[in-house]
Amino acid sequence: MFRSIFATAILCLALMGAPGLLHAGDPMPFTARAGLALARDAARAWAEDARLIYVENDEEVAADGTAVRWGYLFHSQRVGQARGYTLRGGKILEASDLEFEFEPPPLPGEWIDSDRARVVAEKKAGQKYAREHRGRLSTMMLIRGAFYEDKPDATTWVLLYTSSGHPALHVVVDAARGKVVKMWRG
Amino acid sequence: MRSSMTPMTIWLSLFLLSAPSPGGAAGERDTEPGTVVETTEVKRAKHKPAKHESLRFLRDNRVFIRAQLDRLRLQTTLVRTDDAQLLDERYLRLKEMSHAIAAARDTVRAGQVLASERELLASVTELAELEAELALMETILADQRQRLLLLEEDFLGHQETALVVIVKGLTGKDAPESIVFAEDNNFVRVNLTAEQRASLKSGGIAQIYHEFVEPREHIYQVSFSGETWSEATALTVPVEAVRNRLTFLELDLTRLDRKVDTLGLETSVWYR
Repeated sequence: MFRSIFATAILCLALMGAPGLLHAGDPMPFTARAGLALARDAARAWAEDARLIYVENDEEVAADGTAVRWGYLFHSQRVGQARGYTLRGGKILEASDLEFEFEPPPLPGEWIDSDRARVVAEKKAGQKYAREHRGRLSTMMLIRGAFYEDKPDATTWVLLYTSSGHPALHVVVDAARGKVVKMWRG
Repeated sequence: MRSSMTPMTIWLSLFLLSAPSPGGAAGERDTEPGTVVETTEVKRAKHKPAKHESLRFLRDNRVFIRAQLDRLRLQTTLVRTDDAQLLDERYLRLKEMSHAIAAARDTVRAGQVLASERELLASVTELAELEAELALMETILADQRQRLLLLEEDFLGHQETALVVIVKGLTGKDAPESIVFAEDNNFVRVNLTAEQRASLKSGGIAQIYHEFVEPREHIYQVSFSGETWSEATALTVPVEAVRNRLTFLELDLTRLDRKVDTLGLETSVWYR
């Protein structure tokens, strides 16, 4: 009797602490593209010439490539500044000007969503890294020109896996073709 | 060169600079009331710490990422294409509506000419003609109503997120010269026109602002300025701007009391 109560309590505690489990009232996780329309609407109200330049998860990415919060960064030539929007639960949680200069090439409209990018990266190396080093995916970012020297025009998802005591794993996915194009540790 | 700038020269220069120029008065007269005068004041930007940490990786690794981007060269190519594009059918409909309105206007004008020529009904036949004309006018009105409905439907279907600020409640009081909306480092000063101030004083309502805004919760610091208004007092007014809707913010100054910290400002928000 005591053993079963103890086991139930342990299970409850484990479930409460497990990441990615939804509780009543928790905002729904979503893919990066799902929040784009709202972020773009806001950016166009800020500056008509605003263009998307960068996307990053603001909360942990779940196994299916969704996150409860994503951050979107836009740049306006006219304003001469970048402005970020962090979205959660179908709303803009906060908007703020970026406090430093940052102007990568604008992202084109065609790019695979975060769920597909995660699947591709996991299959290639992410799963193995996480299993062998008890690592986890800490960052997903969408950027053009910074991480793929061979084809700087390409828009890429960069997935960063980290593990304590081991060098991090970077997986670069071509966001147009949906293929892993580069990996490195460090 | 140095010898030419004698103390006398300097004094003469200062005198000339300080003296009113002959065209000065005329220049002042030329300044029309209501023209926008832009001034620039340099202040240190206040970076409010974010409540919710965002774009953490970018912030932590900005030096590395920017160094990578510095190695890029952007080449912009413009290609002119002769590909035909589908016309928006609404534009075609607008053209048809414009023609229909012109035709209706002609019909109404012809009817007016006929009516002015007719002083007295000569026979029952003319009464029937008049009835027919009235029926035609009703048809024209119904068509016009239909066109307005189509236009309204089109307009409301494409509403973007916008904020409209309305002021009321200044009956018998001097309205402020301007109202300032501040959010983070952005300041919008809305100068009230003489007509708006007169309207407010006589119990009217004035729409003072209508702009596109970001679809999110805005927290504005609203302050007033004018002869009898304290610009230092700023009030916090939160407004949730709903996406693709018109958000109306009404500032009701009926219970205004400048001695009270909150100024007695009452606000209400509604959406359309």
